[in-house]
Amino acid sequence: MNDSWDAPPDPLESLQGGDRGPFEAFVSQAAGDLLGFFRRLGAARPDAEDLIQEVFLKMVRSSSHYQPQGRFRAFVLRTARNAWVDRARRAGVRPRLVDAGGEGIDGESLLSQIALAPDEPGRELESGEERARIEQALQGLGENHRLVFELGVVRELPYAQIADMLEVPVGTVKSRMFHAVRKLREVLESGAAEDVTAGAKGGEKR
Amino acid sequence: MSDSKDRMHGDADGSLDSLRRESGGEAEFARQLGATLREGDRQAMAADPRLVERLLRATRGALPREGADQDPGWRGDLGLIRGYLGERLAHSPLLRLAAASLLVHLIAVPAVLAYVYLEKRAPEVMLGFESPPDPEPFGADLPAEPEVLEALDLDGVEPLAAANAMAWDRAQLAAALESGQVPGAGPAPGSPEAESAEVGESLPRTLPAWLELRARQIARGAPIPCRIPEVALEGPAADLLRLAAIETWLDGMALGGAAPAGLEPALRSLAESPPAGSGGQRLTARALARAAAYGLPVEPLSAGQGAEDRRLGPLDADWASDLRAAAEAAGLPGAQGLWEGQR
Repeated sequence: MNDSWDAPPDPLESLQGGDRGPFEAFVSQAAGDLLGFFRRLGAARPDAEDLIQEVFLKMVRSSSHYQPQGRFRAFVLRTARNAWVDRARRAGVRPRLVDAGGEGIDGESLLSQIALAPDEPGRELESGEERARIEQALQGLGENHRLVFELGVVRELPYAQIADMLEVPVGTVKSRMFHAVRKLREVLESGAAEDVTAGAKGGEKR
Repeated sequence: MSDSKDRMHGDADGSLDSLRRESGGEAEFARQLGATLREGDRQAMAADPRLVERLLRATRGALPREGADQDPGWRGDLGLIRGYLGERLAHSPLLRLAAASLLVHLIAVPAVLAYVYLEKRAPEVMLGFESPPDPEPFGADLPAEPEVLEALDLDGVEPLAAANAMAWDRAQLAAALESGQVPGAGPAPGSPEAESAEVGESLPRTLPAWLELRARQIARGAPIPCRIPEVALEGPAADLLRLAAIETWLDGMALGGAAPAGLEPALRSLAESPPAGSGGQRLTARALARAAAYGLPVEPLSAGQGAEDRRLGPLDADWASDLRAAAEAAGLPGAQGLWEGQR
């Protein structure tokens, strides 16, 4: 999916030429990815939607002086990251973190914020639980590690681009990535072990 | 919940346990995490199509119009600029305020220019000094040739002059009589003798008789008709008798009488044969001048002939003195006696 962002035609380049189709298609395609991006960084659902819209609007405004260099995906993520940083600065506080119980800003649990398709309730619930656990584990990381994990693992940006975006050395990026993955593995494995134990007990009861 | 966990455990795709069992290392583990998260994002987005609609609607509103920036020329550039400015103005109240202020100033500039340069200015008040024109030389406006004054109409002036001369002599005669300068005694004014003068009876034949007649006439204030006897005109005293008679007749004219018939011939004879001596010339000049002043046709003598420049009185001490000198020059007997009885 990430590779499709860099696939031609370049949406902004098409927009410069007066063709809005590729850009609108990109909006439809990337909305979910960016929503997860902002959510995993710590934004609540309403804030994440605002940030997504802000990212698209910024891209439109910058389309006049956009220089296509085959790094559209990096351009999008850089814009998204800058929007996140700007929002944090305007708020004056660090982005709200989802607590261990998955509670959102409005008090609803993180799981309840995931809309369920009426035709496949079971499947949605399963993926939502997994994602929720991963996202919950991500919230245990520091912001820098979380951002590196998001850009490198989820968005699959090369380390060099991440380093350029965050203005840190490549070695720093690798170090943060290593620690992030190690921490996640520890958290997820310990959590999985508890589930297995709880499941075994529940099965025994049945 | 237990069902979901069983599925998670038995699910070889995406479950954590399977990831942990299958992954050969953390890199693989990370890749699996990323795939799980991406799939979850996709599913979450698919379950909420309204979000995509909202995003598209908001994005389309910010997109430029179709084909607006397709023109590579200056029109396309203008369209880009217009779009950019419109977007910036829509998001910045401060920028809108600055743009409105700029627009007001740009509109006001032509109006100010029109007022400054096109509106007619009121004439400025200027003070200056003008030198007066050179005055014309004095008399420049006067005609080159002086206007000839109209000659006065002197018709009728001579009779007035004669009347004036007579009136003046009349006054002089009265004054002379009062002052006692009249030679020869005569009756007092207003006396019976003065009033009873004989007419034509006592013709003076001598000089003293004429002087007395003259005095009487003056005292009477009216002319006494008389004439010179022919016998009186003979002899050396004829000129003086004639002169005394002329003066007496002139006194009569001054007193309001008419000129006697013998006056003009006597005047001509006097002019032709004046009494001898300087005294006689002066007496003749005075008599002729007096006659001319009365309007009688005589030629007065010139200054070389004894005429005076001034108008002399008809009877004064000078006349009496000249008459005495002329009488003595003529050898008249009793010239001294002419003054006897003179008051």
